[in-house]
Amino acid sequence: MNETCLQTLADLEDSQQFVLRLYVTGMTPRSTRAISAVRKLCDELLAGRYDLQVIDVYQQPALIRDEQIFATPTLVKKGPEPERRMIGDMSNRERLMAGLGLRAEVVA
Amino acid sequence: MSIEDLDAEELRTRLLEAESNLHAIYSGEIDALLLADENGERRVFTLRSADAPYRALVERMQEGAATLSVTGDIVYCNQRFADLVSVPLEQVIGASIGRFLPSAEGEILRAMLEHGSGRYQTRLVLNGQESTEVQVTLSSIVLDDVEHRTLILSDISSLARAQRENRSKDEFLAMLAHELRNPLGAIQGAVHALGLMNQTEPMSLRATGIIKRQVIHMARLVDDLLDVGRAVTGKIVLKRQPVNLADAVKSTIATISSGNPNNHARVDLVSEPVWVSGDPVRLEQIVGNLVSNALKFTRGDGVISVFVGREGDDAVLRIADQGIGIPADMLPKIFDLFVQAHHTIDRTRGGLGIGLTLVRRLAELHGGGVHAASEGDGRGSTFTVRLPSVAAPKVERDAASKANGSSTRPFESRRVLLVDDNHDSREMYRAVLRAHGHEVCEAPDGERALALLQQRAADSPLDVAFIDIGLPGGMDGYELARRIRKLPACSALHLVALTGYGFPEDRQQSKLAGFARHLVKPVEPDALQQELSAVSRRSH
Repeated sequence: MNETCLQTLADLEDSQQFVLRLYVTGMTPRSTRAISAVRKLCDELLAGRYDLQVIDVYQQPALIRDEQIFATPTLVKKGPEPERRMIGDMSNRERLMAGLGLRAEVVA
Repeated sequence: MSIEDLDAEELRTRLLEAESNLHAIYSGEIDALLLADENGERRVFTLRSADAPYRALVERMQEGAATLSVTGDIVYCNQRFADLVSVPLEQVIGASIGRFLPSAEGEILRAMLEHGSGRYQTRLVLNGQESTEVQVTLSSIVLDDVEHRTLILSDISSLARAQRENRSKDEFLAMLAHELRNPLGAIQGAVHALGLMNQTEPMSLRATGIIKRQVIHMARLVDDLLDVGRAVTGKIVLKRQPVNLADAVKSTIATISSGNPNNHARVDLVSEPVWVSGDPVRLEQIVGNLVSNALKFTRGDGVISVFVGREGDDAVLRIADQGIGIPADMLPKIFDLFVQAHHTIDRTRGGLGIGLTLVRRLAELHGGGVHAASEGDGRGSTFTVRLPSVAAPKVERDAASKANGSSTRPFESRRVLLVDDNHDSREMYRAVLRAHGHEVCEAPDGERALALLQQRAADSPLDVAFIDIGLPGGMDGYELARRIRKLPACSALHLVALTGYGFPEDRQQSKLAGFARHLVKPVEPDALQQELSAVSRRSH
């Protein structure tokens, strides 16, 4: 039953665009790790069909007004549906994939 | 989609997500919390991990930084600030900023605090002694709805030292140029004197010629060196008058060409009269530097195209050569002091890298500018000088209209005799006179001058004779003048004496001999031209 909900990479159509927002606070080691981990995963698995924006909540407070962001770093997958969000350390690849709704076994 | 519509699997996923995220927060995997305030606005509460990098940046930066109340009490400062003012950190916070800056500028500081911004330079006083030179910069900041001031102390002692050293370098150059000028003046005078002597040895004549040319060249380098210092520090004052740029260019080119007997590059001049309000000496420097450069970088058979004329409201001088060109990365720097596009190992082209700096400053002083263009290595260079043009002076317009049509030659053509045993001198005067459109014939001594005059008297009588006083062969310039005055066919000939000496008794003697005018060498091309325009042309 679990399999039906997680998307396999094989299921992804070329047109499916991953819209990702990564909310961080400045230049902390955690931010830096999160940015590089997310970008690395996207380049490996979603090359050419992802849109990643990194938002510093200090520098651009207007961009969090309508978002349910409680802590940083937070990664939000806005598309494809359903929306997913993940808070905290992003250097754990398995957790990051689950957070993006991607099934680990398919890639492994 | 409401929660009732979700299937069990989606609910399970969301629960897992929430659980995982809560766990991350509990475990301290976050940098900041975003919580809503009483107005529903979310505010960022950073945790230590997020603050640390900023703190490290501020504490370790090269500037002293402090946050002040609007009255000047220090509420925070970084370690560097405490280091700069040499007071332990714990004694700085809470103190008034005025305690750490010289009281002499207290009024400036108070005004800046009140106004909320400003900048000034001062020296910090440590243990009663002036020490570090600093720049104080103040700006405003709102912290928790309360207005504050931020103050930055920048150590500028190394910058100030560099500026001082640069000034001493300029002063040294100016002094060097002055010191070089004196001996050069003496050499110039001596070589003129040599030219007046009866030299018959070909070797000594040639040596004299070489000294003469090289001294002129050196004098120009020294002048440029002296002027570039003055130009850069803004000490050149222009003596402005209406100048026909086309005439200035023509005479400068003639002088330079005659001074470079080894260079056979052709200079093609296209010109129309265009007037500027300028200093003739400085304009000549602009033209001279650009033309000399073009010659220097052009091979013997090359062509240098010079255009002078009007483009819109501008007087334009454009000098294009077919030389080695300027690499694209050098173009923006080419007018900087001591910059040369090509540093060759053998330095065959030489130069100090000051000419173009001087050209730019002089063009700017005239209210204009200079622009360099090049297609790159080996493809030649084009320099364009633009100066604001002015209307031609009234007298000149009348003269030009009288000359009907011959607008490129504002003065009437004269028939000129040059009597001088010095080949180089004759060559120089000939070049200048021909450039102005005059007909020139020459004689190296008195006998041949007399023969020429009688021969020409019948069909094409001459208008003016420039006669060097120190002539060889037993007949000096005075004697020649006396004999010419006795020739009935030459009664109207205008006689001008050229000599190295300008004492009153020399002038008296030349007047008695029959000279109308007495010019002291070296004669400026302009003076030569003025002399000719004052003489009316004889009927031919």
